[in-house]
Amino acid sequence: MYIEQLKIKGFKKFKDFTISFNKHINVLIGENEAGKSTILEAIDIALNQKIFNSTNNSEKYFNNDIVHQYKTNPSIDTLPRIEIELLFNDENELNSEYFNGLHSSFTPILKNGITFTYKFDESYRELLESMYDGGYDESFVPTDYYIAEWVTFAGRKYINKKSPLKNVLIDNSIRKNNLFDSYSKRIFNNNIKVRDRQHLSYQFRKNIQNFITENNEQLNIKEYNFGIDEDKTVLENLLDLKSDGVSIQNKGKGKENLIKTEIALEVECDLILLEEPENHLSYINTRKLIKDIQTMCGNAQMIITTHNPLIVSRLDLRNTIWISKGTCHSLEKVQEDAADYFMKTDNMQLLNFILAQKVILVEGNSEFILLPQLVKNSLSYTLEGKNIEILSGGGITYKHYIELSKVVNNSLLVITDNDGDQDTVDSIGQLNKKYTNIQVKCSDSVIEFTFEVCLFNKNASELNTISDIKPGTKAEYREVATDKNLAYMLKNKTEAALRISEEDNYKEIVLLPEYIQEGIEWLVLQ
Amino acid sequence: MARSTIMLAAAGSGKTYYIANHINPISRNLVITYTRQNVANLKREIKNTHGELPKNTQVLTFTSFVYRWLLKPFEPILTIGDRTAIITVGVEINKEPEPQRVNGKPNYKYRKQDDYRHYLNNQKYYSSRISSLVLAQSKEIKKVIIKRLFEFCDQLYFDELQDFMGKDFELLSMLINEKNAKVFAVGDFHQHSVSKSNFTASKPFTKGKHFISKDEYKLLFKGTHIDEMTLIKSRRVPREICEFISTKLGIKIQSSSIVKGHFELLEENSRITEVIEDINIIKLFFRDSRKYNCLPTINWGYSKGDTYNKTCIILTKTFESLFEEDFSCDHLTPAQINPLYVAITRVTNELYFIKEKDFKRHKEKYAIL
Repeated sequence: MYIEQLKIKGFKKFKDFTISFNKHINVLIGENEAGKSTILEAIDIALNQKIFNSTNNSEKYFNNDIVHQYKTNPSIDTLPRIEIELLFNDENELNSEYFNGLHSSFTPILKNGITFTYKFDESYRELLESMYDGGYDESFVPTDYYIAEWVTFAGRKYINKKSPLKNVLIDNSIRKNNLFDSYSKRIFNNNIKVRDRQHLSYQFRKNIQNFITENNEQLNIKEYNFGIDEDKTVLENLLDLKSDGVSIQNKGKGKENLIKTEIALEVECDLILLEEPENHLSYINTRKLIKDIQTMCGNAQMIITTHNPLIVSRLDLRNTIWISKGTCHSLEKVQEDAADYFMKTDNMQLLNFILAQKVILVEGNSEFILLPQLVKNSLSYTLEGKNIEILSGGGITYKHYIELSKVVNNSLLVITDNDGDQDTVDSIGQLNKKYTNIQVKCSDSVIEFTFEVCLFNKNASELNTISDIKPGTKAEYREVATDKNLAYMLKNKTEAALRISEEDNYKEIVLLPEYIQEGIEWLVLQ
Repeated sequence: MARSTIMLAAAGSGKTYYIANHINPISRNLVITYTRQNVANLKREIKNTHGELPKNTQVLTFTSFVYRWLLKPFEPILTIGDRTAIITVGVEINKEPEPQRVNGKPNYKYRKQDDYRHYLNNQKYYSSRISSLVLAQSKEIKKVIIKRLFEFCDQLYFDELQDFMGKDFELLSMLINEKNAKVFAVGDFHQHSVSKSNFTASKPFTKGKHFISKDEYKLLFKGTHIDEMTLIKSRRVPREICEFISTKLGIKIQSSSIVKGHFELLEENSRITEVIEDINIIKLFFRDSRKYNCLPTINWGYSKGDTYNKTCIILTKTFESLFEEDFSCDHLTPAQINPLYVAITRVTNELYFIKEKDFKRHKEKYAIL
């Protein structure tokens, strides 16, 4: 069995949220605070009955909007509630019947799943109404009269002992030192057979008892004697996972992460929830980790949150789910060769590309270096100020980014060269008619075959001494007579770009070539 | 249709054992019976046969089955009397619904079927009306219910078939007649109308004022394969006692027991006392067995399903002439005969009878006041 879909209502970031999962690997990406961890938390709550099984202050878990709505119109009927619905795939084992029925938002279709609700306990309605003489107008949420319920779609009470998915949650984002929910305990319970656990626990308690019996005399004070607190000597709560005799907690964060994740992968699990596995890991260890995930997870379903572009690209872009503004977008429709391309090239900008709403993709280093400054000079605003991300694509790969943009639906401006080829100019013209969110810009004139030519033509008088630094520069480029200054720029692309962006006589004077300016003006309007 | 089988068995022929062996541990099985006691018996037997309860096999009571499989998952679309989509909290086991009539007079507290309170008490189902609630659903909803049942289950077993009466029987018939159903139901026709609680016999075992015969009962399963041969022999009851039953009660039963067996009518006071005071002999009273201190004791009806080495039956007036040459039960109803049949068929070795009038002489000595 695996999780097919998760619906969250009124929990933290999510007012009304639905996310679908693959059977195998799922990589959740998104800005900080987008709600990636909340998704794992919601699964943990519904499946493992976490958090709400004890009475503590649960008010912080409500969605702010909903609490606000309630506070502006307080009544028992508008009290905030949390609902988490976990949908499993259709499976017809006899024991799956416990999860199958119409007690779900999928009615009238019979589905397998669990619903968790945290809501006002109706049995207190009369009490609350009489407390307020019918004029209920509280501005806080009376969670003392709330009830947490876990019910399967069959309408039966759910208890986590009957969990259909053996699962482990590894949270590498923070150090959790909760004695009663330690990582070691989970591994112990998942990895060692019930009968062996019982035996170990029995032996442990027996030995403690022996210790007491043997040291009876020393443990005596007058008419009192010391015993051992049974609540504190539960074996599984005392366990600490070690490697080579050293607790993995003391192995350095990176090593700890790696070991934790590796062990989780070794355990026979149906579901692995991994929170930012890349934390504290070097590039090499991240790659090792990814390899482990690929080879060791077997048939388990994995849900991973990450900020790491390597994890996204190497685990196949199509497994990525992007969380943003309370909704999610799957990248499963990205074309295979684009996904393949990103998988093979460790593209460190991939995540920036997906997460940015407006992106300029440039061909080479010169554009990348110069564009921010030239925009400021020509348009009197900055790319940063307009939330535009500039990325260097390098060569022909922009086609893969276009594939990605089609799915991600961000606004993409590609700045490219026509390489002196009229066909390129024409085909780009065609391409621009196809998509509303994508524009590719190059110079319309085949004479302006590359960025430097366009830049020089636009700013010829400002750049008429730039080659002075290299007096030996010949006035030709690829055996064609060329202005000496342009020839210098073409032969020393990066150097020229750096100088223009830094030296006072160019820095605030040089302007954007027309086609780029047009492109940026389009992008800003998106 | 031919996928279902009805098996009519003799008392003590090993029905539980047969079911346990019939179960294919690979397929998905639901084993349904009437009492919790029998759920435990079946589980034990299945574990004996298969080492453990197979992963895809569940044993449950008929009430649990109807509630969990046929009602609860569908509550959002069920019609309960005049309401729909009531979410209940379980089955009411401590309270019976108000009957339509009390002492022959109309009961003003009775709720009709078009009132949800006919079926529910404080969000709980009356267990005696769950079958009728399933049957009261629309054709479409029943279709959904049955589809789901056979989506999760390959084979349904019903034990104690003869205990299915009234709406429960109708529901069972509906399942048996289902095209895709694979139902295996086993029971002993002659044990019908013998209950652990007091009730008056009803359908399908009566037709007007008369009880139906075994052949008429078989007709109720028309179109379904009926097996009367496999479990014809009693493994429990010795041959001589089987012959006695056949002659005296007119119920055909054969024996495969290797025990010779012994039965006799006790009339002498000393013999009566000796047997009654023997703690290795279980005393079977028609009713009120708890009022006697000559332990162990049990009521005829309560002994259903049990096996004992030695028994002693206290014969009611109806059967006082059982040992006479010209005894005949032609004038008796199954409701009278079947309880005695149950009582007699408990024994594996020695069986004693005492007439009520002979026991009376000793009653004072053994009665708890």
